[in-house]
Amino acid sequence: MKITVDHGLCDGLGQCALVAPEVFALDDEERLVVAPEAARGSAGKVAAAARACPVRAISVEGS
Amino acid sequence: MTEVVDLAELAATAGLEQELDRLAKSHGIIRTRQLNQQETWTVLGASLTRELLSDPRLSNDVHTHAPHGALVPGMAVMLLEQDDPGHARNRRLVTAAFASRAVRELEPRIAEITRQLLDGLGESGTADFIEEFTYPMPLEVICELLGVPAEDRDPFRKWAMDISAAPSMEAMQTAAVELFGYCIGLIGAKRERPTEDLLGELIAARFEDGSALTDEELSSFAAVLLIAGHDTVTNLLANALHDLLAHPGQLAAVRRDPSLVGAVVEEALRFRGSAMTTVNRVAREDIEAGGVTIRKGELVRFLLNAANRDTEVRADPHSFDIGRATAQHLAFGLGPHFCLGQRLARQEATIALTEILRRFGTLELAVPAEEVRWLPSDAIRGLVELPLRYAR
Ligand code: SF4
Repeated sequence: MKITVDHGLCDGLGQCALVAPEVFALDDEERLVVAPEAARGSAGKVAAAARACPVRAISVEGS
Repeated sequence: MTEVVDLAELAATAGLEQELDRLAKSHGIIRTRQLNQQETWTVLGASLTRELLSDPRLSNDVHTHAPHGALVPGMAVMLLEQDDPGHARNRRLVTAAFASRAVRELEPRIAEITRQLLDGLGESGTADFIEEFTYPMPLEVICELLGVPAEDRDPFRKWAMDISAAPSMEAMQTAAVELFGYCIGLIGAKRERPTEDLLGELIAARFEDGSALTDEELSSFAAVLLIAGHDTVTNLLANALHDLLAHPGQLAAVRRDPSLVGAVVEEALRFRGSAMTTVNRVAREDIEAGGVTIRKGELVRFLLNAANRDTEVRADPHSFDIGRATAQHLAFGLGPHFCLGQRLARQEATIALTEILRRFGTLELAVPAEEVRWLPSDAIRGLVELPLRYAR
């Protein structure tokens, strides 16, 4: 699974992190950090996190 | 489950929260009657709320799927009543104005508006803080942000009250139509004489394919921002003051350490957020949830204040406690429609509460607590008035 974040769009709202905290987190500067290893086996949650992002900054390819 | 709850009737009492708790203990989702008398599903439980708020089987586009559930018949309200891909596309266009840096830049102006209004209260006295402060303050801020001329601001109170705490469906729709009409005129004027405010920027903004927002979209967006941008903050601020004053120990703690104001704002959002319910969603297909079947075409909305007091998520949720971990409250919703203005709302509330507490060493309710009246609204949690006694 390949997770891409468009940092130009991401506003650090943390909505994705609420849905899939093991994969998405915000650092102290409200920048999104992704843990791709953690995404393995939780494709459903990653997809839900991408859907939850209000500005569609996350795209997911493959599973 | 046969009980059908009238939220507006319940909200007119201070006991709303306890009653919701009783209901939530037996059902995560209940039937409610809306202002126009139609029955709707209303989600109370926190886990069901999290699950369903980003469930694509629920659509915000009531105009297509359930026209009777629309806020204003015939007019799809920008962002609120849209689904992807149109929603995400429009939202991206306006996000920059509400991003962290843009909102931080507004800080000096928000502080100035706050100080001017508080100066008007003088050294000491008794006043309705809603009338004198929590209503005008966010209205000034949102009007400046959008570029609404100062002399036009008078009718907003009535429109806002009629839309969010509407006495009847007719009153609500009349107000919405008048407000849209006003916004159409405003956009027209700005097209002729471009301005450098948010609406001016949105008129000039272009999508990737070169297209732009239509006049109807721009006006509907202006109307949403005017109402959502001030009414919610007005009531949030008043609720926060009311609840903080009811807890003298915590009030004293914030006075000693003003850095706790942020925690007061978050707990106020969780404890008695002003955006009590979301707008309607509509089921695109049958959905099994919380032990019920939501049929295709039925309306669903979320009672965020109930989810924030879910006993499964938080210990002792009915106590106001600025020391608790409030992270992950749902006062701004969740998912694609997560409140666009949340940063602005938090910043306004923080600046205003800090300044009020700094300025007035004495601040207390001027009437017995049981006499404060609550708005009979099924959308907004708020007070009719907040009479306070204050002194430097
Ligand atoms: S939800 Fe979207 S905007 Fe928010 S942090 Fe995640 S990617 Fe960024």
